[in-house]
Amino acid sequence: MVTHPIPADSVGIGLRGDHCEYVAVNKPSVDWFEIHSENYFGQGGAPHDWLRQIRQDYNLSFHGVGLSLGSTDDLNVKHLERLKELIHIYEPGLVSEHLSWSSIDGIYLHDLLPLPFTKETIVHLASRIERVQDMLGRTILVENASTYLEFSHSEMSEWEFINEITRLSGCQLLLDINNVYVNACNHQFDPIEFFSKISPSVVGEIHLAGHTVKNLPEGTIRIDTHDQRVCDDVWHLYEAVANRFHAAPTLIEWDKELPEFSVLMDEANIARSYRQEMQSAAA
Amino acid sequence: MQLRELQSQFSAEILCGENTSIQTLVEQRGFQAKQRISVYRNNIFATLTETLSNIFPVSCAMVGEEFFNSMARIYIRSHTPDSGNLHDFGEHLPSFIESMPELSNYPYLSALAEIDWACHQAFHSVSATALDISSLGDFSPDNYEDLQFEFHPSIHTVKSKYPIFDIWDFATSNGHADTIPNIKSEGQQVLIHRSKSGVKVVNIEDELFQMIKSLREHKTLGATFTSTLDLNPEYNLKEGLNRLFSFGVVSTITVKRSIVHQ
Ligand SMILES: [Fe+2]
Repeated sequence: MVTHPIPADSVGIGLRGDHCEYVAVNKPSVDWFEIHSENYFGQGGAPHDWLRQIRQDYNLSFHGVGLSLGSTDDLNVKHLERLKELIHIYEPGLVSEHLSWSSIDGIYLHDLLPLPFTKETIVHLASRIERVQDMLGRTILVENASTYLEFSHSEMSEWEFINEITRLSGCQLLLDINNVYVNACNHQFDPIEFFSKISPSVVGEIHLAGHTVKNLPEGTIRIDTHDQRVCDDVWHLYEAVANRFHAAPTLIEWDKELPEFSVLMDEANIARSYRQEMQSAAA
Repeated sequence: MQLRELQSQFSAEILCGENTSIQTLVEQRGFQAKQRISVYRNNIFATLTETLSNIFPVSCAMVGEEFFNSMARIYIRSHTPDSGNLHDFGEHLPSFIESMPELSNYPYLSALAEIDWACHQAFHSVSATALDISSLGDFSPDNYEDLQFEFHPSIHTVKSKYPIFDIWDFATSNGHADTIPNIKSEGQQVLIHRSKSGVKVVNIEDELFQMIKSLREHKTLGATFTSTLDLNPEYNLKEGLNRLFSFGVVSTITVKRSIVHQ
């Protein structure tokens, strides 16, 4: 098993079920893979057979979508225990979740739902993250989510909210550049200012993904669909911040309308070329 | 508004379409609060509907995607997901189908959905060793009567008063119209299990269904043979047992410890 940590200058690819056999058999030249932890909550079968094989050759990142960190329900200990078992088996280099909620009164809506940026939310989320980190015995990363609405009783900006949470809980930030861009367009703020307020020392991973532009009579809403290539504006933002967040590895995410694996390799190579440009400019 | 209240109202707004006071908390900026919330509602229903059509592909193909999706929308509201793992969603769809009068045109659909669910469970179940019939040689024939079997965790059986295997086979093999099964023909039983080459759905006779059921209840081989012969005195037990082992679903054999009466 590959045991060294995921290197700062590396570019990983989000691995979905349909590509597992291809990856296990062909061992493409990819730095590391990120999986959705819940896809491996089953006890056995092909998903685990492939992942065990893939883990021999690649480092992994476990990205959770179902822990519902921001929920005011009790923390789902059963969910967390299964995650802990999987971490024990596969020894991933990174473990992450989202700054959102998805369940209430025991009902799981299975979406990354928006939170009001209030002191109440900060205290609640930071203590939940601390509990998760205590139970898992490791630092986790939390990802900034795409949102389609803002709450009028929010007391601060998204970046102030994020900074308070990482400061109080000691967790790291999984900075999704596409999500910042989507929110900047949906809620009209300057993404560059957002990035300038995020301390590079807390960013442990960067996400890049494609989104959908939905034009309605009232205006445009951008929706985080992960079903296409990273758009030009997001690549430009990535280029602009690559230097600032050089210590964080990058991941290409693609979840729906999954293309041939070579398309993902191509996206990863584009990300790598921006990183190399930055390095040669620095030299 | 407190976070807990906000989350409860958001959920009610999504699932029941109620006009809750959450709307007054949403910044409009060119859109109505309702429109912004409906982006989430659409995402959630799309995810959950897609999850169901992925887990129940054969049922979905049988009734058509449009019909399946409208059924899914009702199911999502009446059987909201209770797990953070989407793979757990859909467990009650077969019984929900059974209880829907609108589905009386598809009286076998509930059994079909049960097979879909069993395939999904089998796909994700833990792996186990498969014994072949020669393993019986490890035991003295004197003990055969007292043998008990453990099965591969992926195993599931479905019994229907409809020709459910023929219907499944038709739906999964892109069959031509002239091979449409007559749903008035005799009922059938199927065995679902996972082998090395993947999840299998096989047609089994009623007697073998009875044997498996009895053994899964931890009845001894002797008691199982007796109840199977009660069903059909002509049944060839040896052939049935051979067939059972050929599926690779028996994972352990033990001799029942006799209870000593004092
Ligand atoms: Fe992301």
